[in-house]
Parts: sequence; C-alpha cells; structure tokens
Amino acid sequence: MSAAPPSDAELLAAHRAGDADAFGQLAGRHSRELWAIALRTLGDPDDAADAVQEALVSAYRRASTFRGDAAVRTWLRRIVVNACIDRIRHERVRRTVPWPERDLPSRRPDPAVELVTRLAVGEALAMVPVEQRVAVVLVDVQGYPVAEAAAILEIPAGTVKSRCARGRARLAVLLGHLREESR
Amino acid sequence: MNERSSDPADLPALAALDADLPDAAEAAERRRAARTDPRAAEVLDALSTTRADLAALPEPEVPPAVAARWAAAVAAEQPQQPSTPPSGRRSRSRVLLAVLAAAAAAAVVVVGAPRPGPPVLTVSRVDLVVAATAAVGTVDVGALADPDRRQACLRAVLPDAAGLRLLGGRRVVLDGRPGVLLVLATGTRGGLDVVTVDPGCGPAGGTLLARVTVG
Repeated sequence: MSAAPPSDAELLAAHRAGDADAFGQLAGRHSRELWAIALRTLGDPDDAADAVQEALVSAYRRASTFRGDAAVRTWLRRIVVNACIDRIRHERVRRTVPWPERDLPSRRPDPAVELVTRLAVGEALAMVPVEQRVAVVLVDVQGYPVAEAAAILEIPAGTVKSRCARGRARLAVLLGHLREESR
Repeated sequence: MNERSSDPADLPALAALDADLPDAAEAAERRRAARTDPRAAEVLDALSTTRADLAALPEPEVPPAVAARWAAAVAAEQPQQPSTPPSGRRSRSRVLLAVLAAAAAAAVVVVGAPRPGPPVLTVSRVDLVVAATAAVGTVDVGALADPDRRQACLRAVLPDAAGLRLLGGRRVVLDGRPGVLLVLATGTRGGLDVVTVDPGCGPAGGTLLARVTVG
C-alpha cells in the first residue's frame, strides 16, 4: 500500500519550508478547477489563462502569508476569483458582448426579438454584473455549497444567496426562459 | 430588488424564494401565495431551468499550451538553476512542471517503444506545443542528455537558445524525421522555447528541424 497523498495544507507547508516540488503538486491538483472558474467568469480563454497564471504566481509568492484560517483550496479559489474581478474592474478583458450598466430594459420590444436575443449560457453570463456572475459561477456552475462560496468571496452566506437570486433572475430573462413582462 | 412585493409572481421576490433567502415563515407564506398563481409557477420553473442550464455547462479542459504557460510562469518564480539538471537527481523544475503539465491532456500519438524509456513520439509541426507540454518533466533526449553536447549543439544551430534552462525533452519523429525535442525556459514568465534538432546534433554541428516559442 502506498502512503496517502499529502493534504493541501501539508503541501503548502512543505512549499513554505523550501520543498521545491510541493507547490507544483498543489497547483496541479487544483488547476482544472481554477481554469473552470476563470473561464466561466471571464468568458474569454485568453483572459482566463492570464487570470489563472496571475493567481498561481501570486499564490506562489504569497504562500508565506497563508495563515490557515481557511482551507487551502478556498484560498486558491479566492485568489483566482479576485484576479478575475480585478481584470474586469480594470477592463483588462476582451469584451465579446456589451455589458449593461445596471438593469435590464424595462420591457422586451417584440416577441420575435425574444427568439433572436435568446443567448447561449456563456454569453448570457457575460452580461450579468460581475458580483452576481461570480456567485452564480461558484454556486450554480461549479456546484459549491453556499457556505464555501461565501468563504471564497469573504461575504456572508445571505449575500451569496442574494447575488445568486439576482443573477438567476437576470439570466432567466436573458436565456429566454422568462418574458420580461413576467417581472 | 424589492423582495417584499405583494405580487405572488414578482420575479425578484420569487428569485429570493428560490435562493432560500426568506426565513421559514415568510417562505411558507410566499409558497402558499405562489401556488395560487400560475404566473408564479412559470417564474419558479424558469429559475429552475436556468439553474439546470448553468449546472449543465461542461467542465472545460485546460488547453495544453495554457498549462505550459502556467508551468513556465511558475518556474520563472523559482531561483535560477544550473542550465542542466544534475544527473541522478530530480530537477526541481522538472517535477514542478510535470505536475502542472499534468493538468492538460496531451493529444500526442505514441508509437512503439524500441528500447527502455519513454516511447518515441510521432508529431507534426502543428502539434509541437502539445508535444512540448507532454515532454515537460521528462528528459529522454539521447546523447543530448550530456549537457556539454547539448550546449554545443545549441550554439551551433541556434545560438540564442544556448544556455537556456532545460525543462524536458523527448525523442521524436517530426514529420517523418527523427529528432530530439527540447523544451527550454526562456527565463521570462510564461516563456518557453521549443526546439527540435536532429539526434546527432553536437559539437560538430547539427540541423534545426523546428522552433516554436510560447509566451
């Protein structure tokens, strides 16, 4: 029987202690998930690749500041989420669709337009305000429990639920599941 | 968002209900009101369908070239190592990058294993970056495992690549020609120099079969 693989915390501790292999193992263990979060949040593969790269480098450099008050996986996800949000807020992203300033139009002009404007899920996500989008990505796309999403985002669980509610309402309309008049 | 609307079909209020925001008493009251209004059922169905759409998004694969970029970026954070891993020891970069590269599924055709060690890879030029990602962490470069020979080879065929740190390499058949693929770190974050030379490359010279830079 081989020994159990080291935990995330053990790998991070080993990295901090100078084990040159440890960070690579840790990153390899989580990189698919970090990629999924970044790609769903940013929409563009190049932006997502840049964000994950920034996050990995940042995690490598900041490992010594990790104090263990969150799970390592939560910490890594927080770093990549923050990298994504930072890119969006500083407009370091490649926009593929226009982003509405705040709310959806108050009414849909024509039923025919409804069909035309029915959007793919990824495109619709890009039209949701970033804070709602991140909450929806974590909870609905990645399937994290609300409590874990709250830990990643460092906000109360109720705020995660509220952001998800708003995001889903917007998406229901964008995806054509709901007519605007239903609001 | 007005979550206290008295309209049973109010979208924000129903989205809040769907997200389990109201307390138990208020939720029960809202559900009771919603059951009597077909419009409310339509909204709740739409929210449920939306959540299902989101959950059904496929998990994206990490492209090999992207994994290679990340690996090189992290490698650039490490203290500089000698350009050649000491024989008999695991190279820090090799191991680190091997694990990172494992995040990507490398679609490289593997053919026969004429001798012990990793099999020769059959690749085309368009697959070189994929092959490089797969090669990171492996050093199966034949005679070019000798650092002096490898440096002499690179000085002869590609002087600006001489001295770059070796991250991995494989014996390959590139577009029908035997060769050795070398993955070299450029030293800049995310930068890889993927060089393929002929197997006999050395102090007497050699042939550069291909070169691709990443990042």
